[in-house]
Amino acid sequence: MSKHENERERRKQQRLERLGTNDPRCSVCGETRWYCFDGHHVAGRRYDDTVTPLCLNCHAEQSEAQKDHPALVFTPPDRLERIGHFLLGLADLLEGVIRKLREFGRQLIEEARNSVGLPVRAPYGGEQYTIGLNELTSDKPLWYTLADCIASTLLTGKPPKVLRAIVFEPGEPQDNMKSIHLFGESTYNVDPRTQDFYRRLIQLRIAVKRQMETANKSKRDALDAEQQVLKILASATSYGIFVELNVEELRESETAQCFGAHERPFQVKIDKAETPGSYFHPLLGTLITGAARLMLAIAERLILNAGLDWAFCDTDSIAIATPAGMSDQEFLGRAEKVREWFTPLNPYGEAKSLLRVEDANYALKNGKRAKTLRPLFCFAVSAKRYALFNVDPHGMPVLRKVSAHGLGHLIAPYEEKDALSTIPRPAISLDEMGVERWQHDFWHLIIQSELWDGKARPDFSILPSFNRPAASRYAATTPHLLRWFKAYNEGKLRAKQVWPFNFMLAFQAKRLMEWEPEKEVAPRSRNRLPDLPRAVAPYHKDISVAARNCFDRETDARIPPEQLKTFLDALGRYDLHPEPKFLFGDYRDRGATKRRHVVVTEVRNIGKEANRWEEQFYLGAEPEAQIVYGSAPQEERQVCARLQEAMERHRVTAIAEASGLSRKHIYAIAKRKTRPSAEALNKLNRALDQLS
Amino acid sequence: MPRRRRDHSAEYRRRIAKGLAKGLSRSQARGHPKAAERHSSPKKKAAALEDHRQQIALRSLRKGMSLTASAREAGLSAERLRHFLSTTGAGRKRGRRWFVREDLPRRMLLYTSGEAIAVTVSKRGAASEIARFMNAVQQFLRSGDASYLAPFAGQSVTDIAGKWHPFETDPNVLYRLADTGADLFPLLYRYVL
Repeated sequence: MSKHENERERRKQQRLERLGTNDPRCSVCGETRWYCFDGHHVAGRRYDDTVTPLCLNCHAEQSEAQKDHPALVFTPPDRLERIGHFLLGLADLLEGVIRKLREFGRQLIEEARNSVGLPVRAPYGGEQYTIGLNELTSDKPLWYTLADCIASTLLTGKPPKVLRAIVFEPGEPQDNMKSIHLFGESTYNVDPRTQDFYRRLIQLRIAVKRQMETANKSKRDALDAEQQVLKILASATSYGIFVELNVEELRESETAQCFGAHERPFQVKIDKAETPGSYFHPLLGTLITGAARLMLAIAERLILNAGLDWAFCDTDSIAIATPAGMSDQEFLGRAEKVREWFTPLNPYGEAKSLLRVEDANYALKNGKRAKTLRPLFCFAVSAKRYALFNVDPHGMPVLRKVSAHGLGHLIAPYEEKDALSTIPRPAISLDEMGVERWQHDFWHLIIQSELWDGKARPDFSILPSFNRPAASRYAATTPHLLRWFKAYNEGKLRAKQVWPFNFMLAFQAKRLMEWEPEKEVAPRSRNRLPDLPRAVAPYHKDISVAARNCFDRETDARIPPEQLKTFLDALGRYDLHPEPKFLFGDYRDRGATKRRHVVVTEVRNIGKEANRWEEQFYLGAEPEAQIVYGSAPQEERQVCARLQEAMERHRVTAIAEASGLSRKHIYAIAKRKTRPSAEALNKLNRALDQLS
Repeated sequence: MPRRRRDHSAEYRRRIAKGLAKGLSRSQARGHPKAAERHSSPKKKAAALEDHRQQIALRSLRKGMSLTASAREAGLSAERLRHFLSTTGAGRKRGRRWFVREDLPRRMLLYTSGEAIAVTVSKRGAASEIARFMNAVQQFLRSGDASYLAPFAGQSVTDIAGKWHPFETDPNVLYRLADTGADLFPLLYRYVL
């Protein structure tokens, strides 16, 4: 820190201490720059000592208003006179607030008028990008499918303003298509010249499932495998192949053209090349997902129109919820009507709705599905993290369906035979539920604690082996992964080395302040904590043994076993996981979430969003796996122009303060001596919005 | 050929005699200089004490253990620890016992203004206030009971550079910080020398 910066920091800290807050905000206009503040005596200096921080302008305005207050009656002023002046001062403050509230209200109405309900991919409150359907306002033109525009109209009643529309029409069928027998069986014949390939696959699957109902056990298992193959084939060919992109790491950076949201492509430097798969067709991929969102929007609209509610939805399903005070009978009747609406849309020749009632809704009789429905409860933590359960007569949960999201990558801490006798056995088979026994028990503790009073945290420490390091297993399938073991392999016998496709274990490290040498703690001026080590170890069936061989894959430094997170450390707050893409989805929030209002400040171009997805699932998030092409030059030019304009009206220090960028960096961006990163552009955009 | 047997006591005697002839003190000549003395051979200067040994030794002394016991705890000789304490000024001898300086700066983890940072404080009161706050945070994180945080709302500490750090008491922010891996710390502070 230079002498100048030190001096400035000292002034800032003195001012903040005097104001009594680290985060000053003018209660009238919302100003936040620390050097713009004064302490305002609400009643006037001679009547009362109560002080509130106000920006210099608002302070001058309030002090001016105080000059119109009645003159001093008694010296010193008596109690009633003090209270009177305090109330007058308070009224002046409130008048300022009311004026700002009016402006803000009008602004919100204007925003609402221009907002629509469209999906946006953004780093909602974090670093990980995720997609959320929110209220969206944008002054930048964006491309969406027609289905999304209709969905927006259904959900918000407001169609997006269409600036330009493009229609695609299918051409003639290709002339080199041939009839095939799937799996070499004539009964599974598909002729793409006369049949719709996907419809045929689904019809075949329906036929196989019908056969399963009357088949004996061994035949049923074989048929089950066939219907699964048909399902996977339909899923992969109806969407996956159209968005197949194969990412290849380049030895040297190259220049490529990026076709983004703007009309013209722009040049970018890349270190990863994305090669499209044989059937890559982004148009089909986009339109298919758009149509799926429209189906969900229709379902949501029908549910709301029927006076019902919904708990969660995902791609092709929605959980309809009973509003408070509605009888079960009434609810079922209305929900059935929603389901029936989708019957005419069924393209597979069946008089059945596209929305199927999930098995979890039916009562259980001796562990088997009965024909009667039973009230089902839902406990949802965040997207894809939920449990569906019944409640038995003793008030205990009977789990019917739970998600393994956030749990599935971990090696089971215990087997079914070691499970606690105090936790009831699963009511249905674990295969049917799709989870392992420890995951069932884990969810059982969460639901049980919620059903009891919801105040005490679930006690996961009673679960066997939860005090052991949590590990996930993955194979060294690429040279990139194998390189982590280069130092480990050195000097070892070949049999003891880690070879391609050997398994490895990944652990999560925790922070141990004690062992961090001074030099590793980041510069004192920033006081930032160093990054956590990324722990890996060669595979060993005994996790405790593997933990002793653990090292940091980036520095090769040994990591002591006590620095590894246990199951308790890693999963202790599983049930509090936030959902930042919605409002009221924070750790301690309870009840229904709401859609956010998103304002577009910048359009960032990204590559394959699921790059090295599986690897990240098991080994932890890797920000470098995300392919980012950044903003188009047009966007950068706009921000630079805004910045230059702002620099004429505001001090660079103020912009630096608001954006968190250094003054030197801001000058360089304004003079176009450097290309700002996506993060810097975002910070600048926010700061300029705030200052304007 | 059998190896010649070394006469260590004779070698030691010779070494001391050579040192005394050079004008060194007996302790310097032995290779174990006193606190205020220099090493006789600059080439063989003792390696700096490893950070974790320093921390263990200082903590043990702080707990009231003797110099010898603290040195044993850290895997050091009592002489080396004494030398370290006197040269760095980290400790003082009062009567027959060694004590850690009360105002020795300590680097501590603190949750403040939405981030987890390492602050350096020298005042004992500030250090114990941070320790109390972070302990309350741990209790809150384990139990979910926000009442542990209530006494710290609006409170703050000042670091060694005079910078003011208010305690972060927003439960959601604390959970977020804990999820970034800043919550698990078996020891609350480390001495800064």
